[in-house]
Amino acid sequence: MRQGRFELRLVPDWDTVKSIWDDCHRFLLEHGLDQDQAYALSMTAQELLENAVKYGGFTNPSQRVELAITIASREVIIEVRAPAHRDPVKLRKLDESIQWIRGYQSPFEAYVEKLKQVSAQPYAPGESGLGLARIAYEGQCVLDFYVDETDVLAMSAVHHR
Amino acid sequence: MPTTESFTEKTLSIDLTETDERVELVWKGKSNDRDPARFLMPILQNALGRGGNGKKQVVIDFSSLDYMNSSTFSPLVRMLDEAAKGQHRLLLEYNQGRKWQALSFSALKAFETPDGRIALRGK
Repeated sequence: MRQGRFELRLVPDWDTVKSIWDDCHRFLLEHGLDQDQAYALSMTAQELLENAVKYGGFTNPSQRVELAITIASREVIIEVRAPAHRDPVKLRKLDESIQWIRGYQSPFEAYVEKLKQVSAQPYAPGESGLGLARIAYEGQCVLDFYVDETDVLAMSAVHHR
Repeated sequence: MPTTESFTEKTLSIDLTETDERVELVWKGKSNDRDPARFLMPILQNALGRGGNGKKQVVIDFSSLDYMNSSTFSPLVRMLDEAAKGQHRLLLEYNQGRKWQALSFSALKAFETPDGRIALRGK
């Protein structure tokens, strides 16, 4: 696996974030990841970007969502940065979602439990936490986040090799 | 005589074929809409309705699907939950040779019923 870094600054628009799949996938393949790993980590980037567009605290049209994929010797780090939502309850819920996944023996168990929870609820668009559980399970990533001094939420998924 | 219908939303297409024995939905392309339930739920509900609460088997074939985002799983697992509560017979088919499908659909095996009415099959 060759080390490298891939960065994009995107308009927080659904079609824009969908369109970068091929670029992510190509970068990961070119740096020595196999097809399955490249697919899983492209999915991870896509899910994080979708969450940023859906739940980011964008307040003016000049704000962007930033994607960085860093390939190091022993890990791949996918980080998505977007303005944090002003509502502290949203951040607390995000923290709880990540802690909830970590509380399971395996990400598979967490994902199955989340699928069951979603199946039993009446449909309503909104945060289900399914994307994060999927990243932990299918992407085999450890999730984390922080909010920096400029109120930007940086969400990371780290895949250890 | 089979009847067929096609539904398309951006990068996803679903072909529905109904015979005397079964109702089949074949998914192709990518399901990555912001709110895929809006497009999918009427199609899934329609297929379950045509299945006549178990009179016909409903088969959903994902093996030609290239990608589905996590939002796509929401309407799908709700359908599985609803099907399990009735007498519906539902089979989900996926491509075992594609790792993402093998991972995604092995998790959905949690919705299989002991009597085989709700089942998943890798092919």
